Amino acid sequence: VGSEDCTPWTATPITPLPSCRDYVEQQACRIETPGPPYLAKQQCCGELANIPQQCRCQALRFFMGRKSRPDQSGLMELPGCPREVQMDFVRILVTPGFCNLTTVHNTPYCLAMDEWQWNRQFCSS
Amino acid sequence: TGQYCYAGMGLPSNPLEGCREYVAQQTCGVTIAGSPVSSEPGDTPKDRCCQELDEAPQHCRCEAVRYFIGRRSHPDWSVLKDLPGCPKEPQRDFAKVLVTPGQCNVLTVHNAPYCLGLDI
Repeated sequence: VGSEDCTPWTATPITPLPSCRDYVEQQACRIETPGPPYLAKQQCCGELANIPQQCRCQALRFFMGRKSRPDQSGLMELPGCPREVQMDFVRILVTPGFCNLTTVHNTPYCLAMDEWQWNRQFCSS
Repeated sequence: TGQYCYAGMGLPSNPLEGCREYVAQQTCGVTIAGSPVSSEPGDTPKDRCCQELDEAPQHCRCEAVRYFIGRRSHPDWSVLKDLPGCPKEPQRDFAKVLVTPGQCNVLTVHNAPYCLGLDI
């Protein structure tokens, strides 16, 4: 994963991506977000852009959390908007159609976003 | 075809074949070699993809996505393909949201514009 220390983005008890929660709810379920519709995207992508390239996918894994641990996730189970559907969006937030940000792979997508592919190092956090 | 949702019975033999271009474009910003991308209204990659999803019976749409992305136990059985500069894996992640409001916005077997349980 390179030499970058991603701990600040994968260990805080509070989500490092609060605006992305809004953006994901808007995209996944048409839930209205504060301000004009484009604002949620702008703020979420800004937050993601502030995370070092090497750490973006890790931060997204941490943000969505494990399927079995809704208490340790930046996403909320909502009526008509299952957390599972929101998780599908989190894994593609860096792609060209959304924030278009390069990652540790030097491309605008993340790999190994399925829970079973997460490495041990990340699991322990 | 009634209640069935199999490739070739209830669904085309290569479900969502018409979505490959849109998925590659959205996932990696690439086009599939040899297929020029139309930007004509009504004929964009997104239009063609959504039309195909729309034509599938509502209760078969998630099953169509499932055929399209393949199953983890049989990674070779999918309509999606590895492309230069665009591996199948992130395309698969994108394809899971095709039915949602910001994409094709079609109802599914859950009577909502989303699919569940695609991680199999």
